[in-house]
Amino acid sequence: MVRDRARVLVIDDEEVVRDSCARILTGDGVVVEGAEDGLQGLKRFREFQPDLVLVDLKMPGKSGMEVLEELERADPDVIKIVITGYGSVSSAVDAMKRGAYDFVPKPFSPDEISLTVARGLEKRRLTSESNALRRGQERIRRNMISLVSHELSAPLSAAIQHLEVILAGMAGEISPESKELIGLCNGRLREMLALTRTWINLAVLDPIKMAERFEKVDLAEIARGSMERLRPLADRHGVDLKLVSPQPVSPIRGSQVPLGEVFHNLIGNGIKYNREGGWVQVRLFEQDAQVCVAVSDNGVGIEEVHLPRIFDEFYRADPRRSAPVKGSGLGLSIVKSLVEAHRGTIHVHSRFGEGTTFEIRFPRFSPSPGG
Amino acid sequence: MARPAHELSPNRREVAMGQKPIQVLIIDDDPDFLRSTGTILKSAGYEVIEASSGKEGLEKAKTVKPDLYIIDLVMETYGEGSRVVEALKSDEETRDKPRIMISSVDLQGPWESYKQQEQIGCDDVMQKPVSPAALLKCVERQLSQKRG
Repeated sequence: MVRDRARVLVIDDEEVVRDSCARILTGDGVVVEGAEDGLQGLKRFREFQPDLVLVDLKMPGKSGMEVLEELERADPDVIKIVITGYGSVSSAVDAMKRGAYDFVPKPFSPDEISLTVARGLEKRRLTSESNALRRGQERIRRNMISLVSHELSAPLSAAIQHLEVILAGMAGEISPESKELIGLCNGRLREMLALTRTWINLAVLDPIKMAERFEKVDLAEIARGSMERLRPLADRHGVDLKLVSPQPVSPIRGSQVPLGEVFHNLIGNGIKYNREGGWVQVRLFEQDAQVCVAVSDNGVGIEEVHLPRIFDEFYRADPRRSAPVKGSGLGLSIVKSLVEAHRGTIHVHSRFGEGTTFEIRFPRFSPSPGG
Repeated sequence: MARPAHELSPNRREVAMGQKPIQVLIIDDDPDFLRSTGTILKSAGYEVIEASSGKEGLEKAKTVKPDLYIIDLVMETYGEGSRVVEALKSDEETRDKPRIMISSVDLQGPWESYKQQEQIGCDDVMQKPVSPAALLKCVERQLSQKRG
């Protein structure tokens, strides 16, 4: 965040400490606010959004160490400096292991506070700059990929469309054998186009931009939508689809379309890697304040040796071109990227020959963004 | 065996009966696309006018006054297609004719959340490569909607 003047929050139960810090740092051109205990401090932190926080380790009520940990969870980039009691270097070391950037022992001189805070603010400035640079680079990379994608898919589209015209009989009669060969050619080109598009979509996936469009969504509704769309495929394979949700689950923060893609991919796999008479089940439940989705099937399963790499890009358990189920190996890496963009986690359990379960966990919807 | 879509085209039947052929203007800088789409439409009896830039497209729109437009989203510059659509939409003489947007940009990309149709002001959107049957069906649907 670019600001004219840096902001520092002082959390200390002693008024004299808060006042002297305020006097010293204001003289250095910093905007200072104070809080008299941990709870007040955390509240002020959310409102004031400081660049740096001074936390007294010895406070009644919520301890300085707890405050430190909560600040680290809320914003790892905020600089935290602890004020330690008389002669306690070990607590300073503990604090730094919990995310503190530096410490200032009591009693401190004006210079000590001034210099330590100045160093902390400089680190903050450098971190912000490098984050901004990295985001800029990412943006350039994605724009380049988008441009390249157009250059790759346009000629493929053109070739496919010419073949379609011939196959439709609009360019004169062709022999049955020509028709067959052209059909095969068309098929391979379409595979290439689909793969190009899928890979490019994965490469330009921007979790931050996606998060900007997040809203409150209901996973049950999205699951039902996916299952409806996949019913024809399931029927063709003789696989039964079921949705199990003993209790309604809380909403989560996300986007309908990407989450739909997650369900579509997992349920689709459950159908394809299965047998006639098999089933795919989507179970929704809550556990540990998280909303969980388990997509299970009683299909062919995945051998243990493949499980650690199953989410890798292009990884295929059966890479043969003649494999019974065709795929690019990108589906699960896309699912993982989309789940993680929604701040979720995904795990897989499987027994070869018996079936597979993918379990996804999302944080519950909370009204404050970034909360 | 079923007759191919273009032979069954109502437009072709009407033309065979002496009606004036329906004119379709295709605006796309890709010569392959102009050619293959042109072939599809001609085989169903439509008269095809080609333009390989937004500028040329708008000029021909004024002189030929076609019955339907097929416009590519990305031409030399991204967004040129939408500018053409805007121009057609705001001109009294052209605004009532159906506009079909075609794009090679992946409209199914879930994380793009393309709602080109609503945003851009076209009556329908198709993804390249188009299957001949699907294109003809879309064109017929648009023409019959505007007629009725």
